[in-house]
Amino acid sequence: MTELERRYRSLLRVLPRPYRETWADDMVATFLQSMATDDVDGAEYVAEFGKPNWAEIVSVMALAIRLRLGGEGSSARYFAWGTAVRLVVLVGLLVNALLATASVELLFWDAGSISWLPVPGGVSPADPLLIAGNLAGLLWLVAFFATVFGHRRAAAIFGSLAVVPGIVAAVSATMEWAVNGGPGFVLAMWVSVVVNILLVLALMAFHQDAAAVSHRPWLLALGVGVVVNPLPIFAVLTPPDELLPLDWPGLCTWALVVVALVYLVVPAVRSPARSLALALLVAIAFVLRAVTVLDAWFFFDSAPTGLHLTELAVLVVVGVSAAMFAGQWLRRLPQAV
Amino acid sequence: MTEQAFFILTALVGAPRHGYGILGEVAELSEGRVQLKVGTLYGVLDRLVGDGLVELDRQAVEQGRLRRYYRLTDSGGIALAAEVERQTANARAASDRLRSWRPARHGGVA
Repeated sequence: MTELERRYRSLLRVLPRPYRETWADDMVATFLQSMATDDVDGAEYVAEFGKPNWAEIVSVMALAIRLRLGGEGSSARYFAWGTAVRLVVLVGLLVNALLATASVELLFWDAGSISWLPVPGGVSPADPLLIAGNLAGLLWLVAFFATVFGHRRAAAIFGSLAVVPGIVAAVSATMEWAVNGGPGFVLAMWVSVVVNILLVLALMAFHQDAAAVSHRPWLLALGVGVVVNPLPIFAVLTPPDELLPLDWPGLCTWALVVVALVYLVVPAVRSPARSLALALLVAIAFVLRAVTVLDAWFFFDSAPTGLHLTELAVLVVVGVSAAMFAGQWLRRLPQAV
Repeated sequence: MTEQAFFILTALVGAPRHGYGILGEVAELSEGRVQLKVGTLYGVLDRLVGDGLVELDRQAVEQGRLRRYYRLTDSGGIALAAEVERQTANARAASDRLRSWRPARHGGVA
């Protein structure tokens, strides 16, 4: 076996084993022939030092994603993974869209446009950059709609654009911290950026084999969220004192706890994919909760409160339970592609 | 039907081909516009085999390697013919519309 073949076979390891057993030898033969040359010296060089180019690597990776995050016609196990990741992406886009709409609603509140509420505490005076950043967050809303209505390319474009303001804010906060030593949620901002980049990458799970998204429940969730979501945020920021000692990761934590309880109580909603999705969402919420607590500790010298520790503990319990449940279920599902 | 599947089915009309043969034929048919990568080819081929549009013709050992040849099934031929008919109708509609539009653009009746 030449080094070139060894490298290509290593690349093919990203494909599920049952698929490799059927197709790998043929793929290798085709790839090696595509790299063949009539020049003897050139052929020896390619065999020893050649490697798949980026386009080949991307094509195999894309195939691996389509197979492992399966759609209709896939094996039950890969279908469950695909469904779970698509569910997580939709929830992630929904949460970001709701955060963006709540931020815009806060802008109105801060500008005194919501006269029946007292002036908020804890909100810095709006500057043009803050307003622009909040409005740019609405790109998540566009990405959410594009995903729900099956416009995959548009979803990827708007999702990618939506990540940019977060990166700008994180770079700005990091420089502010590095130059002036000013406090800020630097770690949490960067972790959020990474989570959002992963979210956009995971849009690849919406490939052509994936079933169309059912519009109605997601649009309903968005509508309800837009109305209900600002209420706890207003409660958090309403003076004289914080009525709710919650922040955004805290709200997400308790929302997930409610979802987990519903999942536990209503057997009809249980499935391997939903267990997996719940475990993944809890893992993300745990990371975001942990880094915000660490940021507060490091930058603001604010030790974790009992509520923060409770939230972390609850997330561990819910996440481990969901993961074990999903693991047991997935092991019983056939893997064959 | 995707453009890639369309060209792969077209490449198999009349003669069974192995993977590399399909790559070359698709590039030629599309006048170099569609250059399939190996991962893409087998992603589409796997789906076409699964859908019963393509099947294994034979296996042969060539240059020390087992090579598989694929052929179009009857269903594959029917699906390709239907796609050709659809694309032809689309092209005809667009062509007719363009013919009636050109005079208006150059000062004719709108």
